[in-house]
Amino acid sequence: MCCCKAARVFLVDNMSLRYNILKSSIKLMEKYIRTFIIFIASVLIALNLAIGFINAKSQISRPAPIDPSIEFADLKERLQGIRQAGFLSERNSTAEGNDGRFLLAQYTLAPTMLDLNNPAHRYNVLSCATPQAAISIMRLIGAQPIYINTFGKIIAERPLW
Amino acid sequence: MVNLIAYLISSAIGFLLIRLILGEKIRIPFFLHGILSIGLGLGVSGILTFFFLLAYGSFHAFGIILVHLVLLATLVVLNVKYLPFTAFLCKETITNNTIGMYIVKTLLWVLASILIGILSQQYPYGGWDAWALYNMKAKFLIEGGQHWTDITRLHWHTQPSYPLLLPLINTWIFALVQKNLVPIASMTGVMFSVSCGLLCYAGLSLFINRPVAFIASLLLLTNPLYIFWSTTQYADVLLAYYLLASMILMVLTLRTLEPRVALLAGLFWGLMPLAKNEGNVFLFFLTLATSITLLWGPRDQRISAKRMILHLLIGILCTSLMNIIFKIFMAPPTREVLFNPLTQNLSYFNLNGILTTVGFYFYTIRSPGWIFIWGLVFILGLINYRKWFALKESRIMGIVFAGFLLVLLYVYISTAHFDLIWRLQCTAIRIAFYLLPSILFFCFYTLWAKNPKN
Repeated sequence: MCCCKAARVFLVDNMSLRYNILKSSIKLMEKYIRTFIIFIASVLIALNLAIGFINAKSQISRPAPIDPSIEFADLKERLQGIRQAGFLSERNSTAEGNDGRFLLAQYTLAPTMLDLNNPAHRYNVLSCATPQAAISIMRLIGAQPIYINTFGKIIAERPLW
Repeated sequence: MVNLIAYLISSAIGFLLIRLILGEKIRIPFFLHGILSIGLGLGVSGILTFFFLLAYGSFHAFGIILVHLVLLATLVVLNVKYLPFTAFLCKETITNNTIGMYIVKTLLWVLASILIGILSQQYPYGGWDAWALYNMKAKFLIEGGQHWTDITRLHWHTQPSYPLLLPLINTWIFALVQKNLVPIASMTGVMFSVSCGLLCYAGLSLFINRPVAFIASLLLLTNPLYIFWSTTQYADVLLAYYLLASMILMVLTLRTLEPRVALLAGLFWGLMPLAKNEGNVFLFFLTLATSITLLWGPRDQRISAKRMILHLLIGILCTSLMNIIFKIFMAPPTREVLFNPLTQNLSYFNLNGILTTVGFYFYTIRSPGWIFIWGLVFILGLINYRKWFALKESRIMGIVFAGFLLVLLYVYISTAHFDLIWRLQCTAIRIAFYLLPSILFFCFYTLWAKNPKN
C-alpha cells in the first residue's frame, strides 16, 4: 500500500517535472522564434530600403510624365458652361475593354458631364481612331464639326428639334 | 507651404477634438495623439466641406476656410475653458538610452518619408482610377458650381456610388491653396501613407516592446508595393489608415473600458465607410463583434458595457451621417455588389468561381513586389494561432477579417456585370494593400502583447 502511494507520488512528481520542462522549453523556443522573426523582419527592411533607393534613384533621373488629359485639354474651354455632352466613339467602350478614352475625356472636361454612346445632345465629343470613322458617325447623327484638335478629337454640334 | 498649412489646420482640429473627447483623466501617448489627429482632422475637414457644399450650394473657397477657422476657434475656446494646458501630456521617463532610440527612429522614419515623397512622383497625376474617379470628382466639386451634385449622375464607369471623402479632403486643401489640384492629391496620398506607417508604431507601442513596434512600422513604411499603392492617389490608403486606427482604438476601448475612448473609437469607425464602400463591411463586423464581446462580460459589467456600446454608436453616427445622407439621397445604387443573386444568371457562383478567387488572391500576395511581407505574416499567424482566441481583442480582429473575406468572396462569385478575372486583376492587389497595415498590427499584437488578465 505504502509502496503504491510512493510510486504514485513519484509518478506525479515526475509528470509535473516533465510538464515544467516542456513548458520552459516551449517558452524558450517561443523566445527563439521571436528573435528569429525580428531577424527576418530586419533583413526584409534592409532589402526594402535597398530597393527603395534604387527605385528613387531611377525616379529622379526619369523625365516627367505627360499629363494624361493632354488629348482632350483644349476641348475644355470650348465646352465651358455646357452641362452635358455626348461622347461617341466607334470603339468598344466596356469597363473591361476600352473605356479609357471616355474616362480620360470625362476627367479632362469635368464639370461637363459626358454621356457615353448617347448622341441625343447638342454637343458631342468624338474620339475615333480614323477621320473616316468620325465622319460616318457625324453623318449618322446629323452633326457638324465645330472644333478639331491636333489629336483628332472633335466637338460636333447637331441641331436639336 | 500653403499646402501644409491646410493639413496643419486639419490636424489642429483633430488634436483639439481628441483632447476634448478624452478629457483630463484619460491620457494617450502624445505620438499616438498626434498621428490620430491627422486622420481625424482630415476626416472632419472632408465632412465640413461636404456640409458646406450642401448648405451653400456650391464651392466657395473663403466660405470653406471660414467654417474651418470658426470650428478651430471654438475648439480652442472649449479646450482652454474646460481642460488644463497639460491635459494631453503623458508622463514618460527619458534616459540616454531612450534619447538614442528616438534619434534612430526619427532618422529612419525621415528616410522612409523622403523615399515615399520621391516615389510618389512615379505617377504625379495618380494611377488610372485616381484621376479617372477621385480627382475627376474633386474637379466637379470645385468647378461644378451649383451642379456639383452631377457627380452622382455620371456614367457608371466613373463609379458615382463611391464615397467622397478623398475628393472632399482635396477640395478643402484646394480652397486654401487655390492652385493646381494634381500636387494636392499627391500630397494627400503621401500624408496618409506616412501617417499609416507611424500609426502602426504608435498603436503597437502601447501594447508591445517599442523596438518591435518600430520594426513593424518600418517594415510597412519601406515595402515597395505599400509605397506604390499608397501614393497612387487612390482612396485605398485612406481605408488602410482608418481601418488600422479603428483596430487600435478597439483594443484601447476594450482595455480601458472608458466611454470616452469608445466615443473616439466610434468616430474613427464611422470614417471607414466615407473612404470606401468596403468600410461599411468593416464597420458592421467591428461593431457587431465588439458589442457582443462587451455584452458577453460579467453580469455586473453589463450596464457599463451598454454605456460603452452607446458611446460607440454615437461616435459612429457623428462621422457617418454625411455618408448616410450621400448614400440615401444622392448616390445611385452600386453595380459592384449584387444584393439579390436570384435576379441574375451568375456564371461564377460555383466552386470554380471560389477556387479562381482564392487562387488569384494567393497569386497576388506571392507577388515579388511585396518582398515576402505576406510570407512573414503567414509565419506570424502560424505561430500565433492559439493566441488568436486567447485575447478577446484578437478574437474580434479575427472575426472582422474573416467576415470581410467571406463578404468579399460572395461579391466576387456573384459578379454579374463584369468578367471575374478582370475584376480580380483590378481589385485584389489593392485589397491586399489596404488590409496589410491592420493584419500586420494584428499579427505583431497577438504574438507580443501580454494578456491583460495575467
